[in-house]
Amino acid sequence: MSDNSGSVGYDTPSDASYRIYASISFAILLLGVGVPLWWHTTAVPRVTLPYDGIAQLSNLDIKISTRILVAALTENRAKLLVEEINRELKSAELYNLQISHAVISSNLISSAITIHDLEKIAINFDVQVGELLLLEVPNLSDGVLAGSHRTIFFSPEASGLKLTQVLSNWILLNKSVALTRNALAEPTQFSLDKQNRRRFPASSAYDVLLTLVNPYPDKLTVDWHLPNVIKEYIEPFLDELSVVANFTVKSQWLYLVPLDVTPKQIPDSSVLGRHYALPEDVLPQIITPLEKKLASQVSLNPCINLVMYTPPCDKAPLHIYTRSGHRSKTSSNVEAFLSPRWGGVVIANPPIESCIDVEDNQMVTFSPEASSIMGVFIAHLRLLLGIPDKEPIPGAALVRLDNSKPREWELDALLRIRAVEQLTSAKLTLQSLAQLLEEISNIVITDTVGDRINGALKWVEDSADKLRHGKLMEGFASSKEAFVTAEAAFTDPSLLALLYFPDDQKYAVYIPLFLPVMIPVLLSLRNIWRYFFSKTEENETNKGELTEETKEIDKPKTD
Amino acid sequence: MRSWVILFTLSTCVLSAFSLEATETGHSNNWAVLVDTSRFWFNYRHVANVLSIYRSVKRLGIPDSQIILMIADDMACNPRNPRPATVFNNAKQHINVYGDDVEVDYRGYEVTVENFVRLLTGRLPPETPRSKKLLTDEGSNILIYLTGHGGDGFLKFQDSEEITSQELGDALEQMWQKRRYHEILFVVDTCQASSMYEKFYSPNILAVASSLVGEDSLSHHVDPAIGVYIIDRYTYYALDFLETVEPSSSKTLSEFLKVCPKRFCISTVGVRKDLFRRDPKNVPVTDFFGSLRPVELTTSTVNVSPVQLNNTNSPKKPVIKYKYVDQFPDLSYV
Amino acid sequence: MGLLTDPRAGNGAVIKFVMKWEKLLCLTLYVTGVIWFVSLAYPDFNDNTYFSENALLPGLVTNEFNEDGGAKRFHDELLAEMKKYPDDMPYPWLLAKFRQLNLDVYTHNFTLNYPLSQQKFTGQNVYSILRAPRSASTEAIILSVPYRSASSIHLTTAPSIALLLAFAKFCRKQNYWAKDIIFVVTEHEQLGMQAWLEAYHRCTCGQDGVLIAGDLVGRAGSIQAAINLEMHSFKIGSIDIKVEGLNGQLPNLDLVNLANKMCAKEGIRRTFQRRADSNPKDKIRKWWYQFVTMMSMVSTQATGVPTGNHGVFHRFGIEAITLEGFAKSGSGTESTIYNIGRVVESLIRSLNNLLERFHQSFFFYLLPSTDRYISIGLYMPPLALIIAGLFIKAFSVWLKLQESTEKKDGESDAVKQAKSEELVLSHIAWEVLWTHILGVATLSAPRLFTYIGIKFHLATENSVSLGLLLLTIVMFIGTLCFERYRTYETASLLYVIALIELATMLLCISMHNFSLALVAAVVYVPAALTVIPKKGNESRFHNLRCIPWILLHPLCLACTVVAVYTHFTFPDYTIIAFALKWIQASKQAIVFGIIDSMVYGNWLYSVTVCVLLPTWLIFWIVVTSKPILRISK
Repeated sequence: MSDNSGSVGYDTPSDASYRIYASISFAILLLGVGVPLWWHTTAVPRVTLPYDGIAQLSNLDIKISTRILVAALTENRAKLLVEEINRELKSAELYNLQISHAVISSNLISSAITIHDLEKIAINFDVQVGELLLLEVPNLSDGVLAGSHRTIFFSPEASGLKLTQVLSNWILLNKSVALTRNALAEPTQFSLDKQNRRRFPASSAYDVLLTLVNPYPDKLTVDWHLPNVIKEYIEPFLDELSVVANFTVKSQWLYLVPLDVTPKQIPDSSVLGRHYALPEDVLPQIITPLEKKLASQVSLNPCINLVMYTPPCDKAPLHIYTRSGHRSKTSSNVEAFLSPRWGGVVIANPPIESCIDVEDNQMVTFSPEASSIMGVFIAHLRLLLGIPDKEPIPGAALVRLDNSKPREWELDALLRIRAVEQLTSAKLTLQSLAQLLEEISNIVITDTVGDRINGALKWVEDSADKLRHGKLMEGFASSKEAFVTAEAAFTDPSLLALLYFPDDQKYAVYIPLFLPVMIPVLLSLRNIWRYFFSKTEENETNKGELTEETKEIDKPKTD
Repeated sequence: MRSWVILFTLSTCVLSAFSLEATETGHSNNWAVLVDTSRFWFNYRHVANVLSIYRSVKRLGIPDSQIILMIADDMACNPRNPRPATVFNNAKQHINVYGDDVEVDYRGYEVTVENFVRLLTGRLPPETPRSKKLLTDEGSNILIYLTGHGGDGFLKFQDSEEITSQELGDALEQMWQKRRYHEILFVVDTCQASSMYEKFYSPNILAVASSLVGEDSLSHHVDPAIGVYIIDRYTYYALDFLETVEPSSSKTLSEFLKVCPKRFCISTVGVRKDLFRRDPKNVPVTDFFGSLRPVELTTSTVNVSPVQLNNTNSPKKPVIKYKYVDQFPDLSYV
Repeated sequence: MGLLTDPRAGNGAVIKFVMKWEKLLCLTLYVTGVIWFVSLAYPDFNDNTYFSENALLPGLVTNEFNEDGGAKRFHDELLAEMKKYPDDMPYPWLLAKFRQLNLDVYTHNFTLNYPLSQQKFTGQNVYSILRAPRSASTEAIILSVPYRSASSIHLTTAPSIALLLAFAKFCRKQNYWAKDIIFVVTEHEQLGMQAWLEAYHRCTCGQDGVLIAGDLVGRAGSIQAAINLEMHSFKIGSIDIKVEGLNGQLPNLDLVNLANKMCAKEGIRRTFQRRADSNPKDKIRKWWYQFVTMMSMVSTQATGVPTGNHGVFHRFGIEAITLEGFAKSGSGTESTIYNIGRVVESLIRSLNNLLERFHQSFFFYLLPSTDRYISIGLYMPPLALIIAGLFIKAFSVWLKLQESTEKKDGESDAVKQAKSEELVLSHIAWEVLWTHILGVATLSAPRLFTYIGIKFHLATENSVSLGLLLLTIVMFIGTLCFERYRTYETASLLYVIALIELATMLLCISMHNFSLALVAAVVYVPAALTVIPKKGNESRFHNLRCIPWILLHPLCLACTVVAVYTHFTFPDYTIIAFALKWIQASKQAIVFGIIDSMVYGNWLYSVTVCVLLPTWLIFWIVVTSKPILRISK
């Protein structure tokens, strides 16, 4: 552009073209290289996520297919029962019962006399994990008897209603399962009931911590070998549950940790002439100070605390009084209570005999009776891990547990409840995470998180599919995998990486930096455009008009 | 109180789903997250605030393993403290709130916005020890107490960064979605404190703030011996109230909400109840400030047959005599 | 308009306006600037001081200082010692006292090689460190007192040494110190303090080999703040808070506020520039009172000479003030050493609370009274207005030059024009160069002058002032004799350069020493604006414009200022006595200026000689040059 007159005219046309090329190179450097580079370096690395798949999880219908075989003596009876059970349990949420029937010959059963024999017969039926056999036994003393394997025996007199009741309340626990899911999914609408609140939340591993508290080791020596006790009583039980989770069992002795409350002395007619009372109301106050010393927080897994407390002779026997003013258990020397989701406490009093004629500060040796104490602890563990006590049903009975192992159908029920719990939890976690990641666009999504989310989604679908096809064990395994993976994805530390550099701040940082540089560049674009545009025009017009024309164009520029 | 000690009887198991009643608490454990966000000697009062609350909740029964105590500075060991290893919340020095048994989980420069949000949302690195984790579940009642220097919509951490009310609201929502709490009592003692809870949108939160937007929260008094303001007004009166609470007492949250009328606090205490679905009149203070685990008596046992132990008496270990090892040779002379 | 594609900004209405109203504009800006500055002392235009630093926690503690009895004993002992050694510092006594308090105590020797003669002076400081009991020795606070022997011409500081010892005794018993406290007793006024600080920081501020600071045996951490005590009496009527430091540097306003507040808390009358706050109802009278106080500060600050030992701290980033206590004169309450001790206790305890260096409040301010301040944001605009006239003038002269060349260029061809321009440019460059070389030469001349002076057995001050005088006369003659004929264009361009250099220099100085810049601007700007290069058609009175420029020669100006000071200091002298005193004082003032720059690194002399003098010379050339006709015509 040859230039105007207003000021000193140093410009020649070649100067003008140099200037234009200079500004072109600026523009290319800034707009062509700078801006894309900036865009690339400030972009948040995000792996693409299966948002659609996660959104569809809300339609995911969990149905546990359960096969039940009704084996009756006559076909009529079998059909009738199938019909009746089907009718009653049709409404069971989350369940898809497939009830078939079979006829057995009475000869087969009649040879069996004991329960043991019956169980042996039941083995002949091919009953898989999660399935159930209802077997009619002609001369059964109880109406309905739940066996220790996956069999329920019923007498010819037992009604379908009774069977249904046993199925629903003891075995399928359909209401518990539904409530578990609902309380997780809609916590504002539903809340867990007492029975389900007792259970520890789902986890892939638990610690079981057995603690023996001997507050006055100078007065009482407890002769107990904890590792042996654990090996003999607790481990067989936990081995059975090893499909549910991994368990780590630890034991410890605690000395010099007395109760924070002082029990009241109450005279009685025993040899010692007195006992000590611990009212039920103060029990919660015992747990809190105890908890401080338990060191249960050494591992990251949920810890099931099993505490055995041995009072010394001068403070024994210690008995718990209920709120109504009675002793909770009159017969035994062992008293116990449980705190939901925490653990159980057993008070083991030394036998009265050994405490008679004990002088002050004399050492007494106490060998606790393992079976009664461990029986209580096993009962606690069952409750805390999710095997509820069976509410009595008139006319129905349970085969007594003769060792610490849980019944097989109890295990199935636990698997079902845990599967539903883990599946629902994984689903909710994924949905929440997807919502978060969708809403906040500058959270970094690393490959690890992406893989985990994809994996969890796959496991959730897989688990739901397996459960729908009646494969309880595989369905449970998948749900556990889904739960663990979803949890890991949600709590991945990298998700907080860029949270504190939101868009508004980003632009607030860059605009003051870029704007002063960009405005001249952008504005000069117009001049570049005009330079080349008018040049092409120039070529068309004759050269005589050239100076005038450019002057005209430049006029508004000088203002 | 009665509602949380549940009498165990087999017959009362109700297996049907039921809606929450107004008075039903439904929580199974208590946690407390107590945060002092400001450092420096002249912010002594914030440390005193948070340690006082810590003392109260501990007295009322929340164990240390369930208290996450974040303190940005160590006042007790500050060289300016004329009484080393003590922190008082009263010029008359009744109580050393830094007495024995204070377990600080996050201290000094660990108290950051990032760590606080990580703590709440559970997004902590896997190697984090348990004492630094908020291992709550859907049955946990959480008391969150924050104190420091705040402004309209933010709370300063460490004099270098701040958490905005939006970030806090989002963090709480993620906790809710992850079922990390049952109910939250959110107490914040800063300037313009009520701005911190305005952006909350998750259910079951009762929020209390020492001042409204546009108001300053003031300190209560100076200890002329130490030469600093020693406690903030709101916390001072809140503690006054909490000192009268016992684990078994039946004081309700509605009383707690009224602890600091304007003539004491000078600022107006802000309360947000719309997210909380229970009536504070029916909620005992100990639902948040204490921790009493519900207890059930055990009546049923599993009959375990006595196992014949193969080796009841384990071989007695030989008695080992311990002695000190020789001192490591001092190489400095070589 | 694309900035990248058009190097010429618009020459539209603004330029025309500037060219048309240039004179009026410059005048208005100057007058507005001066009036604005003067009115800053009006109570409505300045603010009450306040604390910005939270960490100070001023006055929240109950004071526990109770060593006034101890101070009394120390004082009595010290007076006895001083009688024994009327010319020296009683080192053994001081060392013993500190040792008795179980403090680390050290001595520090320093030497001054007097730069303008072959003399050597030595001195010794005593200092003692109280280690903070529970913190690492990373930070320190200084409490210092200049020791004045009985024979000193200054007022005694013995009571402050007694107070220092008593306070050290008190501090020893406290366990809350987070910073080390260094107690320093220095010799030879600021020289001792400067030497100690240089030794502490292992650096040299003035010329190498002048002040040999040596090294220190004991050190504490980085020094956060310093309080210098100059109590002239055991019972005092008022405390004067002195702030002005070397090169006009000031301590952080928070520290000044702190001292004021603590004095007020103890009920001690405090003054600033030896003027107590007066609070007349009449706003005009109040303004006048505050204006005088403010101008008093401006005049002290402008010299760049510290008013006390605190002044040498500032360059090390250490905030420092001096508390000077005067015996009661006239009515008013009297404060005992107990009260002053409590003030010191509060001060040190507040400083002990500091977590960072002072950074919150102002470093640039003027004080019209003890509790009001004028911040840099308020006082800079008036100065900027005054200086702006120079730029406008330069701009308009430049534009006029462009216009006139263009008019002529219309006829001549481009080659010729380029040639003449080159010629003019080399002339101009030469003029600028030699004036500045002369300035730098003058800077290093004093050593030469004294070297020659010794041969003629002249005293240092005589040889220096004589040398400078000779140099000036040579300059006058040189500029009057050679090359007086210059084209109007050359003169104008020189004028533009001089204007811009002056304006830039004033702005730069204003960043460091506002008062100096202000004084210089008020004096030089009107003179610079009235210079007009001759075109050849001016009246003969045009030469009168030379007269103010002679008076504005830095040497003349310095003598004038000294004359004013002398007049105020000795109002009752006769003219002859006054003249003698004046000449003597002027000579001394010049030598002090040179010595200050060599010992302390005071840059007043350097700037005057290196920048102001060349600028003045260029102006002088412009004023005295005679126009010639262009060769091309």
